[in-house]
Amino acid sequence: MKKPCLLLMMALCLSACNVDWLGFVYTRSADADARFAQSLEYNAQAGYASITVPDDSYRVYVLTDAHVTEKETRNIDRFVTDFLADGTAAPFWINLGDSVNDKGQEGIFESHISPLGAAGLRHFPTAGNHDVYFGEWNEWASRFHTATYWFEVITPGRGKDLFIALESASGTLGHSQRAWAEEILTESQGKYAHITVYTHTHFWKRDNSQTTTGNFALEETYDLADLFARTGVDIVLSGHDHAAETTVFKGVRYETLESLKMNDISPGYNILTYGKAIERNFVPIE
Amino acid sequence: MSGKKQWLTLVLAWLLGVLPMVAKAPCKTADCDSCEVAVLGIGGQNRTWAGYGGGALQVSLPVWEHLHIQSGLQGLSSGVMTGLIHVQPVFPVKKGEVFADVTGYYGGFYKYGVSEWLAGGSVGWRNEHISAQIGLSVRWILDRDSSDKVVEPVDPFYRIAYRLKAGGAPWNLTGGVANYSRYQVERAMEPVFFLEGYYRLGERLSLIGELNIKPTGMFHLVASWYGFSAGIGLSYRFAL
Repeated sequence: MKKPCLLLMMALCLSACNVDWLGFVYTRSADADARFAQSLEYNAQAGYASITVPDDSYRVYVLTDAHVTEKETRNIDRFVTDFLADGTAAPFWINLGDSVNDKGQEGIFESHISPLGAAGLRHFPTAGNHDVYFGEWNEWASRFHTATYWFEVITPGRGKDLFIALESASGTLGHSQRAWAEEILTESQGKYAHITVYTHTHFWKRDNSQTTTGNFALEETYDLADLFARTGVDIVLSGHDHAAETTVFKGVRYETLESLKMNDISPGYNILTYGKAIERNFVPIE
Repeated sequence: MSGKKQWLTLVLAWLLGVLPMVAKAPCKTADCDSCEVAVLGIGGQNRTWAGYGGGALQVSLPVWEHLHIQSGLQGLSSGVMTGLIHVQPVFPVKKGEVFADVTGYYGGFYKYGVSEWLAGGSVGWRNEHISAQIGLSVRWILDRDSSDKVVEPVDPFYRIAYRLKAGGAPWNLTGGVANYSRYQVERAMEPVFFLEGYYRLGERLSLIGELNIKPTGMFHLVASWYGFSAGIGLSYRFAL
């Protein structure tokens, strides 16, 4: 009797910590397929965005792994300040997930990015694993609505660019989202100058920069690499690893981006310039 | 080299390299019943492939008293062919035995035009019930249609298992966790939970089975179901 009680107390203590240790065996958030269904339900009502930019070349602010907490908001504030001061950037920004570190922090993140929304700068996020800890998926979805969607950017002379968000908070797209991605990418072939896919989980493990970060299963990694290559994806953006890495495989460029998280080794954000090519520039935050 | 040619090359290399050892191995141990060849039917399901089936061959044999070889070859309807070989020097110690494990692996994911090679080294200890090993591996992922490749160096390689009964029992079960099975080597943070067993039908023939369960997202701390594979077959032990 003593041993089960002790184990139960340990489990309760561990779950009270800011890390969802129970997630090692079981997630309290909805499954990947269920999360995708929720996103799709929202998309059916809200539709998909189409953004017109004034020039053929435009600059996109991208951040990942902000891991905001009550005490760690300096870097997200710096991102917001820089973005607001940049009059040449496109009127939207991309967030690859892990906006928060702990449970109950989504409101803090949302309040710190609110000046961007007030300035008409649209937020295109997807969810990371930290965003769905402790069953927080519903909280995330109530604020940010959808983690799987596409939007397009229309330029005056260069045609359109397509951006596709895929949610991989649990290290898999799940069956339904994978089928949706293939449908969208297949329909989009030949219609866009650039196709960008972004998701939280990174695809390759060329170093052990964060040691315990997981990837997709190998079957899924190769399946998605083949899908992206067949359908003409130009660039895949990921986070999760907190360290930058550029990989080209099957002609597709995979960029794992630096984290924004305070106290990481080299935190910062990225600005991607879309023109004839796609250029990435890292902005460090001291 | 096309997918079919790679497939045939792998099978040929396996047949020429491994199976002859069964016939020629100077198995000088007192109990040569540890020379074993098995054939299994494989089936499974995962979030990427839905359902799939296939077959596998396994060889396990002591080449010399202190050198064991285990090898597996698998072909799946999902367009995958994999081969794995472990060369294990084994040395008895006071309690159990210590072993090294030099692992070579090839995976042909022909449906995707991807090949992967892996080389790993690990050390371990085992007794009648417990086996544990840990090491490192390096993986080369190759695009069959271009010169693009990805090298994933220095990934941990591990296996922990518990065998229910001591060796030589008429049936047995072994369960554990590893980042590799007889047919695939995953990344370290994508563990596979396995259960395998045998039931002796006769002096040399056994019914064997295995179950591998692969979750995803465990190290995201958002564990989810990814898939499973199961196999059932027969093994035959040779005496030399």
